[in-house]
Amino acid sequence: MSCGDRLKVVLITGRSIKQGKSKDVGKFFDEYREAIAVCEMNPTDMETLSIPEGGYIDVSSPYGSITVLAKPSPDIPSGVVFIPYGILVNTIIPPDTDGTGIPRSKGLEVWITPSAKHLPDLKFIVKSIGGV
Amino acid sequence: MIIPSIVVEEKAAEYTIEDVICPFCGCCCDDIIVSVKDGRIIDVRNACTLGASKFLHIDEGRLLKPKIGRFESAREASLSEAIETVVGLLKDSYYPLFYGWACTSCEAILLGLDLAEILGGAIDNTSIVCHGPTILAGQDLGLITATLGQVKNRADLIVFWGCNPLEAHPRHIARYSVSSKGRFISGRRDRKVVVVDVRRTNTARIADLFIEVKPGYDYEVLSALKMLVRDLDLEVDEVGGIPVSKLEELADMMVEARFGALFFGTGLTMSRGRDKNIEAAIELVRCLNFKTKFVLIPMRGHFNVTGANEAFTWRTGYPVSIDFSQGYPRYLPGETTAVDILRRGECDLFFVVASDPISHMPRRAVEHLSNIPVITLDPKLTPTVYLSDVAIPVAYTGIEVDGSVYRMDTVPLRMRKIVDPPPGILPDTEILRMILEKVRGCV
Amino acid sequence: MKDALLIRNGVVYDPMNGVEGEVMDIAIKDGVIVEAIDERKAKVIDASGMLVMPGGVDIHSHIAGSKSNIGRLLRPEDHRRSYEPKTALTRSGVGHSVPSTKTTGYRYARMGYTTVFEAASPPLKQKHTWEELNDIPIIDKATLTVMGNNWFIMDFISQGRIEDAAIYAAWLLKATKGYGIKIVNPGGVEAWGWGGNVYDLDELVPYFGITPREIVEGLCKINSMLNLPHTIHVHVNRLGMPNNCWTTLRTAHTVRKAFGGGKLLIHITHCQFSGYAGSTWTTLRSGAEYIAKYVNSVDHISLDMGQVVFTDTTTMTGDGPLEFRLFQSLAGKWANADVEVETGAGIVPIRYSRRSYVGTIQWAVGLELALLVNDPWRIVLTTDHPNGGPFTAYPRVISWLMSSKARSKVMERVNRRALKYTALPSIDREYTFTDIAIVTRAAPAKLLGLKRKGHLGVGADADIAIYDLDPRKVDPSVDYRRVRRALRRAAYTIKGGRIVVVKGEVVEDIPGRSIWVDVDIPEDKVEELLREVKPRFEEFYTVKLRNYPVPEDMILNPSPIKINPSI
Repeated sequence: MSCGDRLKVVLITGRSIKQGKSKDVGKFFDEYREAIAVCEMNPTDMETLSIPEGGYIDVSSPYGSITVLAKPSPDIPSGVVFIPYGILVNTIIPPDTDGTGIPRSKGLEVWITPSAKHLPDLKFIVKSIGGV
Repeated sequence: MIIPSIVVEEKAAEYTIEDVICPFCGCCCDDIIVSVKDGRIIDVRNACTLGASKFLHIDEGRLLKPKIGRFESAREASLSEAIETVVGLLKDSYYPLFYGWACTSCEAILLGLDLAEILGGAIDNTSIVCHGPTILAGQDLGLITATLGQVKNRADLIVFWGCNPLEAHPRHIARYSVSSKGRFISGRRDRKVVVVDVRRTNTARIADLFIEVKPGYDYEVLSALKMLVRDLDLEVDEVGGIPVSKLEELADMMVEARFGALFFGTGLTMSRGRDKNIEAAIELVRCLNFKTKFVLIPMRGHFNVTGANEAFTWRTGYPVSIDFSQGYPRYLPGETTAVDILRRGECDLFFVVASDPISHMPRRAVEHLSNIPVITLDPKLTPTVYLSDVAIPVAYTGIEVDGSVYRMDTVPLRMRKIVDPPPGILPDTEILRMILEKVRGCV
Repeated sequence: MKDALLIRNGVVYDPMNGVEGEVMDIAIKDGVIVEAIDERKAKVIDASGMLVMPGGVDIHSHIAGSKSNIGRLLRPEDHRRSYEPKTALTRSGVGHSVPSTKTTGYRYARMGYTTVFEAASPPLKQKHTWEELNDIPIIDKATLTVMGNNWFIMDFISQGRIEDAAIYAAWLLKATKGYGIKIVNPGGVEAWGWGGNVYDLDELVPYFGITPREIVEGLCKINSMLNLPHTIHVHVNRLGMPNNCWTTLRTAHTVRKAFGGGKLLIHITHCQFSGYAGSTWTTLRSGAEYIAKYVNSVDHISLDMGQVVFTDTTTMTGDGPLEFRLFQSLAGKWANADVEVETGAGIVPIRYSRRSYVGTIQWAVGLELALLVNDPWRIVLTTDHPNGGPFTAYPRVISWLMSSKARSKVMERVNRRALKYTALPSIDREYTFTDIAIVTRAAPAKLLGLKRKGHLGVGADADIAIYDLDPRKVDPSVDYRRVRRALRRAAYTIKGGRIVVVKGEVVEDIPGRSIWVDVDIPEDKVEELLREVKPRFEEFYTVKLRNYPVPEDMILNPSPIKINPSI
């Protein structure tokens, strides 16, 4: 569902080969950041928001907002996006567990907007978690 | 009981070790061949890209010395100073939370349980952000499962539901499920493969049948399948975005299978419904067992998260989320679970072993760490290490130190030491024992 | 430990050495019973007016390993009703029917039990069994290795390669650090790999061209070829089904026909669950009389009771199809865990109710077996913990054996119609203290071939239980409650010469020993066989041969018994 230059979609998080491979090399290396700062989107949805290939998007939920690279993927249905696990996507996941102990990391409704910002520095993110 | 590392004797400068167990995912493939030269790993064969990456990059991004201080104010410290600081912090804490435990040995996990019990704190493992719901369902209903060899030898129907083994458990396909060969099955030709997911994953490409389900509708779909398996009619045309005719096709495949195996992952555990999704899957498999043979097996992400569940359970009766504050093990999902304790700001110290919760828990939960001391034992420089007030480097379990681990299907394995850790770096079992000794001395 | 200990003036029951209620001293030095010690240098326990027995030996109990842990996982509600906070000397724990590891050790020790055999462990998961046993304090432990549905054993037997089967079995015992050959629903659990079962000794196991009879006879032959200290330990086919006592008898008899009498050949475990007559659940009868009659007329068979207690408990067994059937009737929780190539497991919570017709028959059968079998050396007290009830119920079972009045009291409140179909109301026999000392200590030790357990002779391990009960003054037939209370909390439990329990409280938490048999087969024979087996092993299993055995350094305080086989 699109609202001007915003699109509401369902967020799925999960593992990817690239994310898995690069996490054991080191989480502060560029390869890892690239692996987790990516959002697979349906190409039609990208068109709706006029996001070019290689363009950045902001993904927002009531809990926060992150900037990631938009990557077209015909395997993703319209209205769904996929971002690999990591410190970035966890910024926008709700902490409530509804008494189960596990956060609801899949199926969250989020808003996508085109972004002019760049990929964040992971150390900066960790510091902001630590209140710095 | 602590199992000492096998001392690596004088070996030739270059040698090869076979039947090595891979310390990455819950597959724990035990046919890895590692070549070592001058004490470093130079080649890995048979491992998938994930496992190979771990073996070949143990030297990069490594924490080489204990550090005290957060972020850029961190300074190097000696091991004894780091241990003293840790013990001081533990003594001053009222309700410490011990977390992680998925990427280390059961020997270390038991020491963590010792520590949490002595200090009257809480202890949890990474299952709670992954297969916690499977555990809840397992407690309420009981899992109907089998070791992976049953699948290899007998299964003619494989269903992957909410999991993507091609990207998260790559060798599962060839070693255990889709194209494995066994006594009664000669390979891929003897099997049908079904993938159920919200998107067409890479795993879906190798399936005979791919079913796309609307996100958040797995519970309805599993319930509908259960009805079909029981020969009840569905009075709708579609469930969860799937036409009933497709569901009937799947139900027939399941009932007609000689031995069916349902593998499931975080697609079910993390979506709307969580543990109820797993309950629905268990109920479906129960019904199927009245008509044929069917099992379900959770796809565990880390090489010893299953071991963490096993060790927690034999020692305390519960597989996750233990609170020792009353002097005995208590377990209450939502109360004693790590994410909830952090979210409510209830713990006053966070002690992490073999995990990176800052990367893997929701931000709002870990923001509490800006208020309390954080201690981490890890081989690598991770976001959690970066934020820690004290971080002590440790050896890699399964590469630099022996350890007992449990595969995703609860088969126990003993990992071996392949190479020495860098000088001065000890196994986490040693560090934990040192801390325990000092803590016992003052409690 | 070099401590010298003297137990003075106790009323001693040591049936293995012919001592039946004699007042005498027992001297201990370096963890072993000795002829005499220097009193001045010894710690002295005044056991005047107290019952002294060897430490209890539990021949069959499910305390550790994969299915026990699944049981713990399945029963958080069972844990909440029974927990033990930590103390200065002991660790915390939980569990009524499936206690956690530390609690298991403490509870056995408090009752004066000092040796426990884990009843069934699948070789593939044996490392798990040992990790848990290592975590259980105080008691000495051993495990029985399941073989009755093992693909390699079945293949060798059906191909007539009995010597190779024996070598493989010996290797399995060594690889698992096991003590003996356990058989669970032979052939049936393999059939359960396809969702089926076997229902008759002569039914062919699908795809394997072998029958349960051939499996039992084959393993019985292997057992004697290897000179193992215990006989084959058998959970028979059709367990838990009406009219199964005939299968039990036919199983027992088949080995006698094959190998003759004159020595022990088979141990039928938790015989109560295999002791039913009557063709359906509604016409269920006790079959205990038939079994007892047979046992009394032969000399090659021993049993353990598998007594049911009216309580909430957890069933767990390698007999997967049995548990599925139980789930079908109870419709509650059900966990299943097949183990490739080897066996299975099922776990289902259960409540045995006095008012239930079936429950009453089950309760009666266990007691009838113990009371009708004449030779106490061939029957052992168990509840098949936790299947019939938790092991903490043993003192209650003992009181039923010793007191007809205690039994009558229970019989007043059970299903009266069911009682009519049992022999129990007409049985007057009451066990003496000697009988109890036999069925809980001497007999299991003897049947297991544990030369240093179950008795108080010179050279025995100093594992001793002292109860605050004067057998000369207490009539157990009348004062059964007093007996029960005393047996629940030992006045003293001594383990390896160390005082571990005083007045029912654990005072020292020490590790026990791990007992296993080391069958001395020539290495070249084993290697040759493994070389042949390796390709098929690695085709069937999902682990490599090298990663399968339990590493020696994984066993805490190993106490192997070297055995010379006849091959």
